[in-house]
Amino acid sequence: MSDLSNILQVAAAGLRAQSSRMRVIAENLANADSTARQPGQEPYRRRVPTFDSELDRETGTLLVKMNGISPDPSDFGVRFEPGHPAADDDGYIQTPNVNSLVELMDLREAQRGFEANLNVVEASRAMLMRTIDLLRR
Amino acid sequence: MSVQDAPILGLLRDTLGYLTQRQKVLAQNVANANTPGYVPRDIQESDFARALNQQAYGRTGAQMTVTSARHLGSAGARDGLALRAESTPDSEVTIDGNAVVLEEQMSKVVDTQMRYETVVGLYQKSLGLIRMAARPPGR
Repeated sequence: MSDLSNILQVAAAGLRAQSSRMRVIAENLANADSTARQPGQEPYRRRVPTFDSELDRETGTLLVKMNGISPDPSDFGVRFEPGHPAADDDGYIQTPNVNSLVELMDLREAQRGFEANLNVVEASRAMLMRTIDLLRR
Repeated sequence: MSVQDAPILGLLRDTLGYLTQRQKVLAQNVANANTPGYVPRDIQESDFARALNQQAYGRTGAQMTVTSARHLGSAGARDGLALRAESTPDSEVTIDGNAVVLEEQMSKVVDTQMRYETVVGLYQKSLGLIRMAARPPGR
């Protein structure tokens, strides 16, 4: 019985981790065009969430948590736009290192992970209900 | 001897325990489906058979007996089977070392759920048999 409720805890941790990941992806996508205001400043730098498994000592289960959000060190893009306030002397501005295709693929993967965790919740809930049904009749 | 100790019910209960523990391990795998370096685990059917045999035919070696309520119980005294979750990598390993394939885990989850429901159904039928035997005749 306690195992069944532990399952719900584990799946909830998975749901939480995947939804925080979706949040970070949404931030990246929303800022895909955020450039600097002045020359010499950096545009938006893409952020990457990382996951880590974490032992819950109370129940002995292996939960998942978001380990932190680290900046993506890859290079910024460059675009020629002399009228832009952040343009340098040659008329170029730096654009964020966000690739919306990559972000969309990440989003789809996070969505799939979220659905898988939901399925686990559904399955263990059905098991729990069947057990409780033993008490009827 | 209580109703709970009837051999068939005890066996079914152990099976339910095994399936629940397996479901827990699978839930951990799904939750860690994107954790770098994570290798999924599973409780093999053979391990369950081994634990069941061990329980049915006595354990090897000397065992401590609980003779007072204040004694600590010996391992696996009567509180479920001692099952081991072993790492069983799925068919693919990603570059970051994660070996969870969601499809395979999902089919295992559904398999466990179906078997659980079967066993619960059997449990219910067995209880029905006992209930029928306990009913006064002519009613």
